[in-house]
Amino acid sequence: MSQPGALPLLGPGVLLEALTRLAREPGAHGADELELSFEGGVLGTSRLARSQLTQTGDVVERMLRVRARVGDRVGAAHVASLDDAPAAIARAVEAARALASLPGPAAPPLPEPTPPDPAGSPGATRLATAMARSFRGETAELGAAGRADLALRALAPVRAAGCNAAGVVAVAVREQAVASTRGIKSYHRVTSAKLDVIATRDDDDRATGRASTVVHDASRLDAAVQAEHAAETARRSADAIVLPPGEYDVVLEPPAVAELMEWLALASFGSQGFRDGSSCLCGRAGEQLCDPAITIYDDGLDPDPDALVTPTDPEGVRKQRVVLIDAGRAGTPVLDTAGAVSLGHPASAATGHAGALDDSWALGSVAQNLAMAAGEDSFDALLGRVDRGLYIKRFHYVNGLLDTRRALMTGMTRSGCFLIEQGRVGAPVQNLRWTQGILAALGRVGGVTRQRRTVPVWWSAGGGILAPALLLRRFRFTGASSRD
Amino acid sequence: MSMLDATRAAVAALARREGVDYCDARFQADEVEQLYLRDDEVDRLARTRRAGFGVRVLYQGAWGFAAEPGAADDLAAATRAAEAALATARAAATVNTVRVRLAEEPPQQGSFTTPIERDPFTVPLAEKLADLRAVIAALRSGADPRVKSATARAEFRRIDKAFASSEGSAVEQHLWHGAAGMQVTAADGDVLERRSDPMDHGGRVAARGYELVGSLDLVGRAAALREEALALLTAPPCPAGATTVILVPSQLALQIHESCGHPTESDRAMGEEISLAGGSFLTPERQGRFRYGSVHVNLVADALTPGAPATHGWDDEGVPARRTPLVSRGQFVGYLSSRETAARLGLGRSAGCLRAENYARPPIIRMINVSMEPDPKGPTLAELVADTDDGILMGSNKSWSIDDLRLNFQFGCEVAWEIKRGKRTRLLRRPIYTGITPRFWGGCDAVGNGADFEMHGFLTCGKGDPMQTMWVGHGCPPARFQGVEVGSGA
Repeated sequence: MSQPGALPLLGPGVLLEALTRLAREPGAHGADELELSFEGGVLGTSRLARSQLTQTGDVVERMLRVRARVGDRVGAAHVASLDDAPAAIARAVEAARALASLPGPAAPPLPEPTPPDPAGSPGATRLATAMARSFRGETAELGAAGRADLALRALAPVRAAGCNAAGVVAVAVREQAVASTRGIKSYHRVTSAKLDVIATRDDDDRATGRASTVVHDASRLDAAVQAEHAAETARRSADAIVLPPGEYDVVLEPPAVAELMEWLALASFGSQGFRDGSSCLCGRAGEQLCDPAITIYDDGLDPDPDALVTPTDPEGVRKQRVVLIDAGRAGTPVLDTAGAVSLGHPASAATGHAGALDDSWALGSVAQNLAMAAGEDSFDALLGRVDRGLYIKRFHYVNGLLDTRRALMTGMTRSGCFLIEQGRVGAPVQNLRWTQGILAALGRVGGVTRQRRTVPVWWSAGGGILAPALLLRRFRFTGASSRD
Repeated sequence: MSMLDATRAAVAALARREGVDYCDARFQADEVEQLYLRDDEVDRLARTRRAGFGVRVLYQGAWGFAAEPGAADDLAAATRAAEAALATARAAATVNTVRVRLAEEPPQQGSFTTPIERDPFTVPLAEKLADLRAVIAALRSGADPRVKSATARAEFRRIDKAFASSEGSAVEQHLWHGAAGMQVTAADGDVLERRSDPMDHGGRVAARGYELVGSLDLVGRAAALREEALALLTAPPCPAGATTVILVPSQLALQIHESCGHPTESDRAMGEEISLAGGSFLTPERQGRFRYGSVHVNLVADALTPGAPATHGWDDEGVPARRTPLVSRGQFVGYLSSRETAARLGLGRSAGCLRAENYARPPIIRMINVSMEPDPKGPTLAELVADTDDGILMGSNKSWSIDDLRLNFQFGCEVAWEIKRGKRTRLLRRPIYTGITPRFWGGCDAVGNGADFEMHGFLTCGKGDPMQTMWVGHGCPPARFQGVEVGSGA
């Protein structure tokens, strides 16, 4: 936990020996097949508010999922300890037998092992690179004192700027292992370090700035520089002007772009939205949905040094690169095994996108390593193309469920919204509400930056989205915030 | 060995350490079963058990927390969590300049168990699946090809907790939650509509056992729900403009959640959630002197209502369940609070709102049951409609968005009806409405009586970093609001 060398990881030896032994003899438990999938690790969090550390914690969590096939039905059970594996197997078998009492189609087959790439092939190299890059021992051992040190380095510039600081330093080390009767045997471990700094002016609590990032290697975090960015935005945000609702050209920083991508993923990039037809991609494969400058993909082995990587999913299936929007044309969804079968594909069409074991609410496959392809523009070039518009650092509380076929969403601006006039960033603007069909907005692209940043996602301690900045024309704002 | 022994031992050992001002330990075991059916397939059939210790320590005025998985008698796990919590608190103390203090609270002893009629974990799985399958069949009957998908779901939880503190509290709780509901999706070309009952977000959530499922009569209500979804396909979009709006409980519950529940969280009001969800317009200097809504608006927080989702014996720092007014006759009067925020804000006592999702999360301020009180002299829903000359009735939440101070909101519903001269007329699709919180509640000119009061809730209210989801309750009658901007987002 906080002591170097005392990581509570079970390791590949212990995990794979235990899981493989259980999976080898399904008949002993009354099953035809078993799959055992484990995720666990430690999450260290230090939260800042009012320039104090208000919450600090180191928590150890483990989750084992057992899936048992009996006949053509599959039951599942989850427990928090390897010691409880026999009980979980019994429950999974009981569930499979209960399902057999009901009519309905056969359950999808449990996944087959991913065929290994030949040594030295591009695929093998990509995998090896991702495995090596995803874990850093020094990050894993950072501990509470290391997080406190990062927090102190972030606090100084914020305080010096006449602001108070909020935010979080979160360091996670996780391991995942899968073994099955079909021969899957996989293990990987991942570290992540997230730093999120929010500066709020002491003399104007509506003037805030924020800078956030997430990396595999904590040594890449520069807390002071990040804090200075946040403080500078807060400094420039005082005495914001009020703009009337209407259409404005917008230059969106990566955090704002990432939040739109996050909601596209939730509503449209998984199998669920294809099953009920609610996805904006469903039935439109190859159709031009938006500007050719827009390509969105999910790649758990992304070679970009800023991308977060995850070699396999909790089914033990190797992550594949899936292009969701390809030069503006509708692509295909990310798939887990059940999602593949439910959409009429063979189980082997799974792309390695099963949801996390402890994710109790998401259904079907999940895009967890999202990225938008870089463009050719500099950030200043985007600004230079705007006569009168808005420069937006990030959005707040977006909801993308208004009309998922159009990707109609609403949300607010937050922590940095400025008027652009004649290509120059000017006065701060009070936060605005927007309501906009995002496919339509992505059809009016005025530029995409070369540079991309990894933006932490709110629903996962170590997750992130790699996004460029965008210039979008005629974005529709529908209301302004106000004090009361 | 009792469920309390390891927590007591961990606390006793930690309390003796130099510099420790306070500590508590919580053992929590969660048993969860999720059954989600979609048409003739199983979307999710999962039984999850997780258990472990979460230990908090206040060291030289700075908090530390740590958690370890383990069974109730795993003293070694409790001890490891205690040591790790102390290490994190020591690290925090090197940064902090302000010492945390706690409001006084008498030590607590005892136990609490949610009263239920039928333990859902003893109901045969085949029976539960058959009950849900009957709901799907009812939604699917008629074989209209425009019905694209039908879902039925149920979820059950048993939570066993033991809590001990260095001040001498030692309490046990055995809490139960159930949730059940259904949803139908209809589509024609690119028009797609959904209807849910009793609402989306997991259906009806309650502190009840398996008896909840039968009480909802989902099978009996399925045909009407399906027909409504089909009718929405050809309904006109909700027209745009300012009008009178009646919200029924399946939407008003969400309105209360977002625009009263979250902004009255005292940690938000003091800036402790800035890093994720934001702050609150209900700042401390406004307590007792800010007009939140009209005189018809009375909102309370309580953890005492029988059967409500967040009803318990004690919160996760041993504060007994109690009732706290938040808004009285339109005036903002109270906060959801903990011992720490009660001391900081001078509230006297905590409102008992410090709760953790599971053993591995620190307790933070969460809504309990935040409800709108009915007006004993108010109208029934039918009378409210009859009393409305021109307006729109909306129900069943579909989308939700609100700014970082909980002021500017926009909510969407699954369904709406036009009201003309006191009668429901046309069905309207994709209704949304928007407003500024105190102006919206200030426009409330009628609150229903108890006849149409419904207790709803959510299982997955998200807050904190790392994210915690929580079960919360919201009871309310229908209510009417004047001058609300509505539309369809077109």
